[in-house]
Amino acid sequence: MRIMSFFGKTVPFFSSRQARWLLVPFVAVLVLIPFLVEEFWVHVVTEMAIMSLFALSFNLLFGYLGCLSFGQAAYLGVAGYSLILMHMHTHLNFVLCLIAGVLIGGLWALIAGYFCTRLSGIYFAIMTLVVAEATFYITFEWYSFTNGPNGLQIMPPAILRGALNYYFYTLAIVIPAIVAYWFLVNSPFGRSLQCIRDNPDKTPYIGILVRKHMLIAFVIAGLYAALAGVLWAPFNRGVSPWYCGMMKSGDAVFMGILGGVYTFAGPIVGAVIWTFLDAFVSRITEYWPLTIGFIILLVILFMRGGILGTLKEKIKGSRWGQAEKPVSREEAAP
Amino acid sequence: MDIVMAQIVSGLVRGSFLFLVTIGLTLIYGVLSVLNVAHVSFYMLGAYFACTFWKIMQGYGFSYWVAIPLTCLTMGTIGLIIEVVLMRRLYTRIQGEVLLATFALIYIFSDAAKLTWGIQAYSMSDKPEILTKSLGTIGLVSYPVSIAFTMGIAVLVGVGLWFWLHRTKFGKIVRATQSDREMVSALGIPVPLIYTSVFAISALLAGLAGAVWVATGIVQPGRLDMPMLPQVFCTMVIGGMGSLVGTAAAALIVGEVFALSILIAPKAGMVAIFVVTALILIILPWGLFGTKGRLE
Repeated sequence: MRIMSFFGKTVPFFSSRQARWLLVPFVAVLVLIPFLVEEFWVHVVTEMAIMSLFALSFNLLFGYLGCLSFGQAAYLGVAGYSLILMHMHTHLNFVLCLIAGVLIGGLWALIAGYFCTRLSGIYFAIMTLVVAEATFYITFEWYSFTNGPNGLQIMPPAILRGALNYYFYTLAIVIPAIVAYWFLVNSPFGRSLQCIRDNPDKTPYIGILVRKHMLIAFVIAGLYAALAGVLWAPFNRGVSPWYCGMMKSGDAVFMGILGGVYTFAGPIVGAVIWTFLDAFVSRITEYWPLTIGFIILLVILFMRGGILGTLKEKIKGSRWGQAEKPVSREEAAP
Repeated sequence: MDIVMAQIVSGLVRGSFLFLVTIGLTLIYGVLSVLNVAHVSFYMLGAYFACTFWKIMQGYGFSYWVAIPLTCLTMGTIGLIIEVVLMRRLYTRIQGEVLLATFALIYIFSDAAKLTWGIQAYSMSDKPEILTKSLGTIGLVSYPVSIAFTMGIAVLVGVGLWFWLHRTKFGKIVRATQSDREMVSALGIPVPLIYTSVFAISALLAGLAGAVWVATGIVQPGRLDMPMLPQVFCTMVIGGMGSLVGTAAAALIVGEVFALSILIAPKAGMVAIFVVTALILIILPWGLFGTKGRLE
């Protein structure tokens, strides 16, 4: 019955005409931010926007499909590398390199997804992690092509060099991408993913091709990570193998968990908080991993469902997002 | 031919070493059905503790040999504390959450180790004489006793664990808990206590692996925990999660694949491991000795 309820539900938040107007002040704040704060924080907000895409990419797989991916950074890194390598070797237009970067990141996700989607549960998590680490080692060891541990450097085109310019450029890409993501997860396709998450065994019986859906979701998630990657590489003025490995992938996972994986806006909130903490805590102490480790532990132990998930439970009737906690997957662990 | 022989032996050593690190993880996964990623951190802490204990007793001939059991005890205690304080609350959660919580532990321990031991590298400057002696030479390559030491410990641990699980009462209870927790609990056996002890034993094994590592390598921040993780995972999934025999076989496969691929492409060792893992998972999605249905 649980499955059927997915199809009969209305889509909150964006569905009513009034709610749509909530976006106006939100976008206005985003536009005004860079004029109100110093330049350092403009960089931080840009990073928040890019990381939102990265966290959303992870959440498509975990929150909506129910597969824990520990390898989203592989596609972010590959896209960044492709962008820079294209730019270096072919001297094509920056925009063309950008598109190529996203597509190559997506291609890498397609190849990895072909293998990963054969597995489920913990095997899926490990396999995605293995892909990320393989990507790390390939970029790390292939000196002649990727410049090994030194990574590659890039200067964005002159028009994007200022903090403000890059901020608006990022917004112009990130906001449509997030809106597209909204439509994606609320489409019949998105509902099918949630169906697979809630009951992978019964889903085939209502005519949903599980593996095909998983693979498509995997590639789309890869494309989102790749989009984050092509934004990140020029923002960061370069890439290094560590942007492909499991540590960076872990960032996406933590952002998602922090914000709340079973909500639409959760990963975005998570990315914002995480990036803020990163910028803020790094100023005070060098022991950032220690701090974030404890934060994650506390969130997992005492705030199940992350920040938005907990808020959602507290404020009854609030409509933060439509994806709900799956009920049937509570494994009968000891 | 010498070099091939040398690589085969090096693969054996690497394999036995991987076995030592992975077996604790396999044990927890098999019995408790949680994947404790922080196991590699226990291993790193073990190596640090072994170095510290050895340093305290520096100069005596027995220092290293006493450091090993001391390290095991310390790590067993740390494992005990972590189980009681943290892991106990996570058994009912979905596996993703456990994975994340233990991943957070890796972050915490790696920084804690940096805070405690600093960022310099440690190594045993005066190794026990017996370990540095030559075992014999094949062709031009001389093999030190430490190789036999690592392999010997691995075999000992493997056989010991098998004996413990299959021939002792406690081991049989542990295996019974693995297959039917409620029934065991109904028989009046305190299951939480079993879980705590299994977790402590697994941490103890990680400590042992760390102590063994100190005999041959150096201890440096960021070198022992994270970089071990992919290899340990590959070993686990190739063998089939939670299988003792599988872990042993997989450790040897991973070790040999790494060592032999170096002969062909010196830098592709790790990538070769990943490729082999992917291939095995595609042909046998449950690993070599895993059984379908053990998971999910």
